Amino acid sequence: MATPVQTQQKHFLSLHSLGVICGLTAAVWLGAAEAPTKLVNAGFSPFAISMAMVVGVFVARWTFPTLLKGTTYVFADLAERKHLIVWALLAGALWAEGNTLTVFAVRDVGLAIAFPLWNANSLVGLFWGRVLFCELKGAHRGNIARVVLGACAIAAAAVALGFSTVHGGVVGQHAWRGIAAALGASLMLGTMYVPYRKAYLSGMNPLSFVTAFTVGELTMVTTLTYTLDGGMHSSAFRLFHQPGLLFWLFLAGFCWVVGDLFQNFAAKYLGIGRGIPLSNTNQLWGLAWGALVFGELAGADHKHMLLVIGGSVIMILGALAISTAVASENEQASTSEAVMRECDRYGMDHERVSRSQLGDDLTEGSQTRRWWDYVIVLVATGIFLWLGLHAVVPPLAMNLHWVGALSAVLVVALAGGGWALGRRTGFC
Amino acid sequence: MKKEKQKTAAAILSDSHFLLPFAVVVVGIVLLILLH
Repeated sequence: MATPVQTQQKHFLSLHSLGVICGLTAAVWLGAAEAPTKLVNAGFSPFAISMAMVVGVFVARWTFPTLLKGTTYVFADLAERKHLIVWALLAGALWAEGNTLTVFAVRDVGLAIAFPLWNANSLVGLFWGRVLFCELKGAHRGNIARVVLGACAIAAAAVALGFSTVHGGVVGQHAWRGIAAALGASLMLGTMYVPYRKAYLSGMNPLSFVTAFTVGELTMVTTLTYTLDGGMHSSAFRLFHQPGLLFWLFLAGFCWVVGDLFQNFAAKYLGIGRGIPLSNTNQLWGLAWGALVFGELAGADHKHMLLVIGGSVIMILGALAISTAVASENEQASTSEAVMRECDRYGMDHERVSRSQLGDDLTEGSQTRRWWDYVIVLVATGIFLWLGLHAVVPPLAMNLHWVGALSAVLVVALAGGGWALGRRTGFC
Repeated sequence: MKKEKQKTAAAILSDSHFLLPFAVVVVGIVLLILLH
C-alpha cells in the first residue's frame, strides 16, 4: 500500500506547489477586496461598512462556490467533523472583533502607528502554529530561516507599503487606546488562524469551514454593530436601503470570500506558518488598485516612492523565500503526529483523515448537486445582479484601463488557481 | 449517543486549541467594551 508521501509523488503538482498557488491567488483577491470599499464614503460608520461587507461575504459564499461542492457534500463534511463547527464559529467571531478593533486603532492613533502593530498578525499565526501544532518541528535550519525571515519580510514590507499611502498621520487624544486596539486586532487576526489549522489537520474541506465561518462572522458583526453603533439607529440599517451603494460593499465581500477560500486552501496544504504570510502579500495588490486605479500615489514624493519600491521588492523576496521552503520528511512526520493527536482526541479514523488532508475525496455519494443547490446559486447571484443594476458609480476619478487590466489579473488568478485545485484535489 | 456527545464536549472544553482562541474572543469583547 502506498504511503501518503508516495501517493503525493504520483501527481503532476505537489501539495506544496498547490498551497503556494492558493496563497498567491488569495493575495490577488484579498487585495482587490479593498477597492470597492473606496467607492463608499458617504457618511456611514465603519460598523455599517463592515456589516454590509460581511452580509456580502455571506451571500457570495452561496454563489459559485456552491457549484464547486453542493450543500449535500458540505453538510456531510460538517456532520463527519461536527466538533470543528465550534472552531469555525470562533474564527468568524475573531475576524469580526479584529476588524472592528482596527477601526478603533485607526481612529485613535492613525494608520502610521496602527499599521505596524496589526500587520504583525501573520507572525502571531506563525507563533501559534509552532506552539500548538508543531509546525516547522523537525524542519532543517535553512527552511526555518526561510519561513521565519520570509514572514518577517512580508510583515515589514506590508508596513512599508501601508506607510506609502499615509500622508501626515493623525494621532488622536487617546493614543494608548489606539495602541491597545491595534495590538488587540493583531492578536485576534493572528489567533484566527488557530481554528484554520485545527480544521485542516482533521481533513476538513475549506468550503465547509468557510460556510460555518461566515455564520460566526455575521453573528458577531451584527452583535457588535447593534451594541456599539447605536442599536437600531446605526447607519448600517440606512445603508441597507441604498442598493446603489450596497453593491460595492457586496462586491468587496465577493472578492474577500474568494480570497479567503484560497487562503484556507493555502493553510490546508502549507500550514499557517507558510500559507498566511503568502496570502498577506495582498497589501501589494491593494496598493496596485489604490495607486493605478485611484491615483493614490499621484504627487507622491521621493520618500514615498522609495517605500513603495522597497516594500514591493522585500515582499516579493519574502514570498519567494517561503515558496521555496518545502517541508522535509521530518517536518511531515511532525504534522502526522499532530494529526494523530486530533484523531485520538476526537475519535476520527487516522487513515481517512490523512487521506483527506492530502486532498483525496472520500465523500462517496455526496458529490451530486441537488436542485436546491441551483436555486441557492440563482437566488444569491440574483441578489448581486439586482444590486448591480441599481449600482451608482460615484463621481470619483478612476483609470478604467487599469480597472480592466487588474480585473484581468483577477480572472487569470482565479482560473489558474481554480484549475490547479480542481485538477489536483477536486476542491477537497 | 448522549455519552458520546458528552465525551466530545469534554474533549473540546479541555482542548488548549479551543481554550486559547476562546479566551482571545473574550479578551476581544472586553477590549471592545472598554475602548468603545
